[in-house]
Amino acid sequence: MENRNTDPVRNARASRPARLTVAALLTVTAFGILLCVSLWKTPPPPVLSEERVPSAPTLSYRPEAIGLAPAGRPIVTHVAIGDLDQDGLLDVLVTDAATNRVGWIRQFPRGVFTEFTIGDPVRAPAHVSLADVDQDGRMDVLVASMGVLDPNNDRIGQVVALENLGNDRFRNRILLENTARVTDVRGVDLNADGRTDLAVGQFGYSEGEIRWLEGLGEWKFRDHLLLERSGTIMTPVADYDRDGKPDIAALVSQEWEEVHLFRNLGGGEFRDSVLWKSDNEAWNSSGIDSCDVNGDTMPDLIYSNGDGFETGFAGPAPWHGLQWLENLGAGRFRYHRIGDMPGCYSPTCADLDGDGDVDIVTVSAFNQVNDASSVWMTAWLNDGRQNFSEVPLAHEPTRLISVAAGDLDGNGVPVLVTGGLHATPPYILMSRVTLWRRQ
Amino acid sequence: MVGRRKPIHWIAIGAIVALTAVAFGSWQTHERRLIARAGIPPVPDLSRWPAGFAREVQRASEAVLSEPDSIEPLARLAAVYHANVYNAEAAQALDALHRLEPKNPRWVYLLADLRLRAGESDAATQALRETLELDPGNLPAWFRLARELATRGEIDAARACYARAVEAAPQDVLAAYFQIAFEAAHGDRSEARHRLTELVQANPGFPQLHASLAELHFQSGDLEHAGQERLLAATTDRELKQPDPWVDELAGLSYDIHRLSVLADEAIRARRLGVAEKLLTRAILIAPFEASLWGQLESVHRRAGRPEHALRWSEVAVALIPDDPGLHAEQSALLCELGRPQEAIERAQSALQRWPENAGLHEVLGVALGITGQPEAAAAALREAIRLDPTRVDALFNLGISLHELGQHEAARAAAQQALSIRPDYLDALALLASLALKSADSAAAESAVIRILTLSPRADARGLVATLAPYLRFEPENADAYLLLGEVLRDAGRLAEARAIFQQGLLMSRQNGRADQAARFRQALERSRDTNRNLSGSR
Repeated sequence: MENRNTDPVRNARASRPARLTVAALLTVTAFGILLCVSLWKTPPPPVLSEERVPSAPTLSYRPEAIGLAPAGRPIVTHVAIGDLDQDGLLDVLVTDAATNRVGWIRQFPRGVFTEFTIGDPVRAPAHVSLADVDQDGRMDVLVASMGVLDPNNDRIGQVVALENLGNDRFRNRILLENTARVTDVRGVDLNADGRTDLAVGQFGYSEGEIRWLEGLGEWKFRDHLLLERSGTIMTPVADYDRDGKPDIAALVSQEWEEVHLFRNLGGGEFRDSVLWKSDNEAWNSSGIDSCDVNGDTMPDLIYSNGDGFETGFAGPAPWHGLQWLENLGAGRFRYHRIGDMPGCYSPTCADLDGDGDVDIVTVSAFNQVNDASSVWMTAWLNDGRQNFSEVPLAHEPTRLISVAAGDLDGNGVPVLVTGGLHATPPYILMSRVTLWRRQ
Repeated sequence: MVGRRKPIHWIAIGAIVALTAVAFGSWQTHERRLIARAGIPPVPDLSRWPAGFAREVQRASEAVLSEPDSIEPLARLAAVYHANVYNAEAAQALDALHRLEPKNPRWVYLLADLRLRAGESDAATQALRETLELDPGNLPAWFRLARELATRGEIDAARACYARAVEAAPQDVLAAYFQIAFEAAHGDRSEARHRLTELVQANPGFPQLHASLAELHFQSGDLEHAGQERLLAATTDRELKQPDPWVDELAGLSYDIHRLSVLADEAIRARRLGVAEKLLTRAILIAPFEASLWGQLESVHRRAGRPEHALRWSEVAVALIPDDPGLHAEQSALLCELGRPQEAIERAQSALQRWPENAGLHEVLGVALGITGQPEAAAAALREAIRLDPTRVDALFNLGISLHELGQHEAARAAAQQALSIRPDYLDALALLASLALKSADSAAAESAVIRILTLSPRADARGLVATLAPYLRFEPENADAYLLLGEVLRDAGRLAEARAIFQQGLLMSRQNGRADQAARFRQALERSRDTNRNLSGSR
């Protein structure tokens, strides 16, 4: 009899199943190890509730509500800083479209702010500025009236002056009416005849205009049309070409999304040019102002895009934000994008950090109201070479549409003032006029 | 004994293989669950949202954990975030869904939507291309890809996308239209015009198509056809649907009432009234005390020809929000529309007890009084509305009507002119002005107004003109002079066809009224207009 243990064929037959068994066992073991590894690498159960903590700003401001308490939802369209009563203390002016009134938040004594309603009602006031229109030594108040804030092509706009009669009394004078909705008016002597003229921007809706009103004295004006185009938001005046004559810049939105410059040629003549234009018809231009960003004595333009009035703000448009147009002289400007900010509005220059260069502050009128991390006011700090760092300043209140900066405290530190426009829901964390002091 | 060992071995091997398969399956399931869990983002601070939204997010997140093998909870979570513009959170969930179902084009398409919102053009384009590889017949994806490529200046690539869309859906009107519109903007405009003409002939009644064709005709100098197409654009109402179902259905999960309101407005403009109604109903459920939403919903029902529904909703709104004067004014306006002006008067007067300075209430009161044949009271109410708010252009026009009925034609003219100074293309005010001018035989003023009506009115012919003037200039024997003047104004303005149409109608009506004297005058006027035509023809 063969030894079962030494017969190679039999041994081979006996060992094949064994080898298969071993192989299968090894396979199972391998999978088992893999499974254990997978189980081991299982992440902890997801946290179903976690607070997103916004990053701490390097600048911080303390808010203080000033002015009248709102009766309902605040609809402030513009705030400006100026010394209306020329007592050496800066005041705040506010256009309130909820009440159709212009408010003068008078500072007196220093640090005490009291609001007075001045003049008669003005329909949907959109912008306010100071100028001595009748040259009587008293500052008058120029008001741009849209007629209604909602989209409307009717000719319901007005240019209104609140004539300063002295003793805190003001009288409404309608300088232009039955015209496309007016969004900006500035008083300045454009034709060097010693009388105050007016630069006027008119949004309208599907039709609008830019014009200047030549002051003839005695509150009379001659009308000069500069451009027929819808969508003008603002018309900041400065001597952009440094020829001693004030020029008019204009931000034109709607489907145009352009920045115009009307260079003053003298004798009442202006030459129009387009400084910059976006290809994006939904660029949502929202605000423009002039200041010398780079300290070369030539006025530059700071320019925001963030309008959401008609879009319902489906979400942060990725192109909302801030840019500046560097004045290169001779009517030439160079575009620089500064940063992104949803619903960006009201670019304003000020040296916020006291380092001697020009910073910029903006607010947001359209953002995710329900999202606690949304930023509603941002500082753009200049490093002196026009590189800007974004610093969130406020996560509330919501829906800020205007910001102004001025040395209200008289200590060289800019104070900020914001206005809130709460025309669309949700109505939470609302404000009317807020003063912000640096901490 | 050898035979007994073999089966045992094979059974063991079989068992081991089975165990291996089970282990592998378990491992796969486990991997999928890991992916699903990784798709749950940390819940952000939702304290400012309506409570329903926070609950929805919490519920959906927990469902992903408790139903780990189902894809539905994660899909729901992604949709809830997506609908409420939590883009990063939505992207995290959609990434996981895409890994779990890589062949499902829906997830990568929704990711593309997020990338487009964020302005991430490269990522969006890539995602759209991936969608189309999985689903070559996805028209919304083709359209969006084409638009994105066109924005980037990749015109040929965009053109190819439109061609592929048409290829995928050769009968789809929208696909054909988009392709033609693209060619009109970037290619051969005359070819585009020709193709659009054919498309419109095959598919008439879409205002968008007629308007675009009108523009192309105008640009090529063919004013006659441009005018015809503009008329059709203004008088047709077939909806050119642009469905994007995966994105459209997100609106039903939005808790942002302003967004819902704006989407509803878009739907109303596109005449998708059913969609608008759904969106507004949802918004109202979230924010039942937001008066503007109720007003919008009423407007939907009015446009749908259901004023009685609008009134019912209006009654609910007023009961829920009794302190909003605008809702009371709207209710009065609806009552007028439903032929219940007396009730409208009562409602408006009652509301004015509370809000005596409300211009809208005075205006609707004035309109209601006018309907009940009280022009003097109507004029007083409308004057008050205008005093309170001089921009109320409709109040100015209605004041003109009341003054016209009172025989105060100069004042009526002034009111109509004031309305026109605010709204220069206000057709009704022009018609009132025209009828006043015709009645007072002021041919210069009549010509100015009549020509302007013809220019502005979509029905720019004699019939349309008569229809526009009819409410103010009913063809009655005492208005025969005015009609004669109208015809003469048109004749002098060179509108001979319209002039003859007016004279012919005048002749017909005069005969029907048994007024032979007037019939003779219209006959003479017809003869003169034919002579004018002959003279003009002879002089050419």
